[in-house]
Amino acid sequence: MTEVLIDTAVRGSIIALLAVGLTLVQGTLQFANIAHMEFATLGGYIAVALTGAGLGLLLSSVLGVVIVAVLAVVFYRLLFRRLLGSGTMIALIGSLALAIIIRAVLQLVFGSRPRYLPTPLERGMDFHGALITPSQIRLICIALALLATLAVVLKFTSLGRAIRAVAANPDLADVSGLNRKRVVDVVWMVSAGLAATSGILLSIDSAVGIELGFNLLLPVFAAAIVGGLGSTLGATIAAYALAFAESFVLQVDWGALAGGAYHLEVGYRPAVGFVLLVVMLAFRPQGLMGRTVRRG
Amino acid sequence: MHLRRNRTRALGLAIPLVLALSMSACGSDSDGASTKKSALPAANSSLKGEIKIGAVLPLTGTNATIGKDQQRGIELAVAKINEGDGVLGKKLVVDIEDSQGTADAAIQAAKKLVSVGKVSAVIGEYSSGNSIPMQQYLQGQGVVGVNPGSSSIDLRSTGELQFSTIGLDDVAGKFTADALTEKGYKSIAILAPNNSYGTGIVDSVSAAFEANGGKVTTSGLYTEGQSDYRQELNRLKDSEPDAYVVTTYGKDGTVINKEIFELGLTDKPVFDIYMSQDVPDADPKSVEGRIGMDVNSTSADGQAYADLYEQTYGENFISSFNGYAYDAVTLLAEGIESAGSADSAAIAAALPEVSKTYAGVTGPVVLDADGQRSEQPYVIAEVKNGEIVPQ
Repeated sequence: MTEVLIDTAVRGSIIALLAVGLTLVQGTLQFANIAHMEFATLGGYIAVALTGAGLGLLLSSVLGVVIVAVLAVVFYRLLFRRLLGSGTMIALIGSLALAIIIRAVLQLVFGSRPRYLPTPLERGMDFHGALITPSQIRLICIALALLATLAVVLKFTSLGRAIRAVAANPDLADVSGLNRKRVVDVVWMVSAGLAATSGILLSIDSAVGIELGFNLLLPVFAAAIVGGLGSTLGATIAAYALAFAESFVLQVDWGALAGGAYHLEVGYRPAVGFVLLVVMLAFRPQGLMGRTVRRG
Repeated sequence: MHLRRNRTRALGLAIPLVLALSMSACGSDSDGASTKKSALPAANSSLKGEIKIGAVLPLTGTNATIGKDQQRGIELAVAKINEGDGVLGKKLVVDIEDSQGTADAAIQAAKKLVSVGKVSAVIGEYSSGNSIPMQQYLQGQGVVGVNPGSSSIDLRSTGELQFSTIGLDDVAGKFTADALTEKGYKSIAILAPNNSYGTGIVDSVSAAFEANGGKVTTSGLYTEGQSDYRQELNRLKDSEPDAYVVTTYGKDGTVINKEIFELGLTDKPVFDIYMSQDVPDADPKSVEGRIGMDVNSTSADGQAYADLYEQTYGENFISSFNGYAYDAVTLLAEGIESAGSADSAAIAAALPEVSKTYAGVTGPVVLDADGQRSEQPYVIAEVKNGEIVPQ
């Protein structure tokens, strides 16, 4: 069982950092940014390039996050703001195009071989019968600290209030004198920064590849939708719940019910996200924390 | 007004692209730089005209390292042939297309070679999952196919125009099982990728090992491209075998090897099938002391070839697969020479006969009734100081 919990904590953290950003952008701009996953891949590769240039791992990681955050704002101002002018569906397709371009460019520059961040190979430590590596402990702690900070900022600061106001009712926010442009810039920066952090943490734990972000598309979207689009708390809870469900379904000896021994093939892991998504959409389409807004 | 808006919009699309390009260019390294030490010999100037064959290799994608090595084998073979008498007095040209490591792109590439290039034979690919559909396509087009890297036993039934210069998994599985039994392991747990290569190797090793009186505690098939394989590895560990048997490649191989170390699976023997597929990409510490089997990259008299490779590229073999590509080109050239024409059916008829006397750089390549290599030298090796050293 400890194995399941460790697995949940690691995978849930990675998914949560991405899902929270996705849901923030969705909340403020009403469009699902498919290129969001690529911010994670970009973060990993930028960190690899910086460590390759001789910078330390910590400095490279921080710079990687900052560069991706700035880049995201640039993407928003030059690309997405224009596309959003033509509708959210256009912006969604545009983000898919951007995702493909980013992957192609990364492959062109870095090649298709996996890259690593220079971290020492560490033997896992025994933790109540399951093994956990120091880098995984760091991953979980950093993710939880960032998610907690985000929650505090959204809840208790004026910036957080502004973001929530823009998300709840953009027109009203405008009328009340909020600087909507600035709020949206901050949202992009924060969400891309979190995505890059997730990508770098995952790169430290395994390796960076072109598909790093793309492979997380399904669980991240599932977590964001199950959590209720626009709700960061919902996305966080859903991310960890999804990771738990994935891990639990694989650990359970389903054969024992019938007297045999049968474990579900690990290849079915992504299906868990789908099932969760379908069940949620069928019974609670607004998601865990989503609000149904009555219009008219 | 309308015009201006369009222009700024186009600008909006172009700038992120340029930015992305210039930004990521900062991270570029010496990967693309040429490491060639000495140039390949020039072609014999008396050769008139060209004989063209095709090759489909994974030059990009997960198996790009292998594809690059296969390409080197082809380059060396072509240079050797054209330095001499060529084929039928003509210069041999191999058109190489990228399969991107996917079945879809492999077939598209083969289509281009067949319909545009009008080639009579196509060499390729590396993954069985790509080679099988490609050979099926080639068979349908009446074009000869030569597989220099895949080992699924399904390649036996792709048709009478299809051949392999590498031994298939039934041969490799038996060899592996015998080696495991000889090392005294009573039980093994197997991990392989969930594709036609992986299922084939799991079946052939399991069958042969159980026939030797051993027990397979569990066999896991992993889905490629995941960020983490702890679930799969923990299942292997929980089944408590005498030894773990793994076969993996590409990015997955790197992650799996890292996690094998982290999870402490290296406390027991880890036996690696086709070691050179994953060991070169792994963190050296994670695979130190690992034992395994691999195809023999050169035969006893293949030393001259190994030297030529090192002279040309300034490094030792980066995988074991360049030699099979070399043999594929050379065998085809001899087949065309013997058939007296570049007609596909004539080549296919000539190949089995030519193969009987052909001395390949990877050893004798005698093709059996299915057009498959019937003899295959394998080696048992161990990783010492990060290098694969034959035992």
